[in-house]
Amino acid sequence: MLESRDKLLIVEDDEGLQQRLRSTLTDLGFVVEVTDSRAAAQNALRQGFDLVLLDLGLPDGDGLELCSELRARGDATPVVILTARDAPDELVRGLDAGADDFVAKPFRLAELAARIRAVLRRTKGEVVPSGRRCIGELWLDSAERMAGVGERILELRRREFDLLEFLISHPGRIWTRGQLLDRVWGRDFAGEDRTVDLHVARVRAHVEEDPRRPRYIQTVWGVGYRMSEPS
Amino acid sequence: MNDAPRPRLRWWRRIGPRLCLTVILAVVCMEIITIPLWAWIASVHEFDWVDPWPASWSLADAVIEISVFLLVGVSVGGVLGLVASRVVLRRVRTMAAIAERTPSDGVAGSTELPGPYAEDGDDEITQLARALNRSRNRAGELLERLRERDALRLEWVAQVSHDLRTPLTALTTSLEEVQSRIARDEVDGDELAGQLGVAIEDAERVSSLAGDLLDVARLETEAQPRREEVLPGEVVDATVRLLAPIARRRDLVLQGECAPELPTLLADGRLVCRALENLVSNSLQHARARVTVVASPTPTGARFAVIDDGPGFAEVDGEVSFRTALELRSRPDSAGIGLLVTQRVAGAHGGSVGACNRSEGGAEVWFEVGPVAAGDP
Repeated sequence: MLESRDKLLIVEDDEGLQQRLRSTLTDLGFVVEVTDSRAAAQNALRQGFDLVLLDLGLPDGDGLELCSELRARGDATPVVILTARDAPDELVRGLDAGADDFVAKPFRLAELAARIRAVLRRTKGEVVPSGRRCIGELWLDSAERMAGVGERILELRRREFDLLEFLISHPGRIWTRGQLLDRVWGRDFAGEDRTVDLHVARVRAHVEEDPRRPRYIQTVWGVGYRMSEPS
Repeated sequence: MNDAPRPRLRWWRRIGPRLCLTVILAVVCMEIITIPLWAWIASVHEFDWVDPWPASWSLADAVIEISVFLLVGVSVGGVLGLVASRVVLRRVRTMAAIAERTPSDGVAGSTELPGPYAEDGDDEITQLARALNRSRNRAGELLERLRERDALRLEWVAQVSHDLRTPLTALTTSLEEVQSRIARDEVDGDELAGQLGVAIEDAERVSSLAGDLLDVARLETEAQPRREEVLPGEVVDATVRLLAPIARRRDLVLQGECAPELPTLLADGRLVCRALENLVSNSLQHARARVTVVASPTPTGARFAVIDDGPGFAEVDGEVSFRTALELRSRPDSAGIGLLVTQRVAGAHGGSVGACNRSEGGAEVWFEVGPVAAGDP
């Protein structure tokens, strides 16, 4: 069943998992290439891929360093990390290194494929810098600097609007507090994680029907926040 | 016998205290002896003993007399000093001997601590003995706690080993069955899919167990769980969202209810979620039609209760100890590690766990966590 012709690079040193990933993702219509080391991945990445599936424990180094190197040279290829280390600190480290998503081992191949598609959708949508965005009943118009829930217009302060705009522009993606500070407040801002928490609480108070049971801006405990479609 | 080499002290440190004591006593003795000796010499030589230098004396006389003073003073002082230092330091030597004694006559692996040290008197050495005894008591308490933890860990390892082997055995046998059917060319698509489905469920049980084990290991190694602001309502909704597919597969209704005015907690949100997830997963195995997750405030934090309409705890009225709940609600092939994780998460957050049969039927299992975040009602 062909669903996509996106080109994926799998960087995984376990041969068995490598083969299963290759065959499943190929069946799903992806064009798949496989490497088993950091050095080989560095060479392969010159060809250009739509997404990289990256294992953290590579025989010749940490997968995260490869991710950091990619971002340092301005390569925005989305990276989905496959890891057996799913502690919050590890997730924060990975996201701060520039990863787009995490899939914890063991995983189901169907779940992995769904996450790959979601990341590809997100990253392809990111090129639209302005316009009206909607999630559920929540909408935000960057050009007019207006946001609302259904008919209700939200009265947001400047930074609250910026935060909501940033989150709604990347639905489903997890952002660490550090990343939110960098992206919304700017790298020069000397704020703390608490600043983000306070602003998230304020935005929730405007956006959510019950801010104590948020449906749009969800906490990823120990890591940060993400904007989600209310279920 | 203790074969550990004794620490080598430098010679001046070894004899220093004794030498000082000897010199001080020698000087004192010289002073004590000098006065009567000088008076005696004065009477023998018929001079005024207050005048230290009689005119009739030659230089040789003076040297001889002074030498006699010094010799007698130093000898008597030295002997007294040595005797006194041995007497004073004997208690220190006794304490050192006690400290170096191999506990329980050298029984290997004994964790008995040397001592106690005698506390007779009120001098500095007694103070030292008291300090050593206090330190010994503290070390004893620590050892006792370590022993208890070791015993718990052993029990835990036995449970884990049991819980791991059961689904792994089921997984292996399922896969072997599939393999032999394929080899015999007896492949029925539906049957094969069913068997592989069971194998996947077993693999997921092993995976979930690995997660529980990791959480317990983290709780044991980290002095305090991570603290962040946690909205109980968000925990309830996240858990219901996560387990809704399992409830649907079993034709059960899973819903969350939150009391108004729930406080914001200062807790490890991921662990609190995990604890609730384990309770809900357990209740989903026992419910007939419905499982309800309820969050309510407590004086120190929040309570998460999971209510099901299953048979409840058999042969138990009302309140049930969590231990009993654990034994009654664990799968027949499991030691209930998920419920143990809940218990440990609650404990790490200064909370408790409990269970009861409900008067209207069914069971309720709950845990409490805290504290409330600063600035929250």
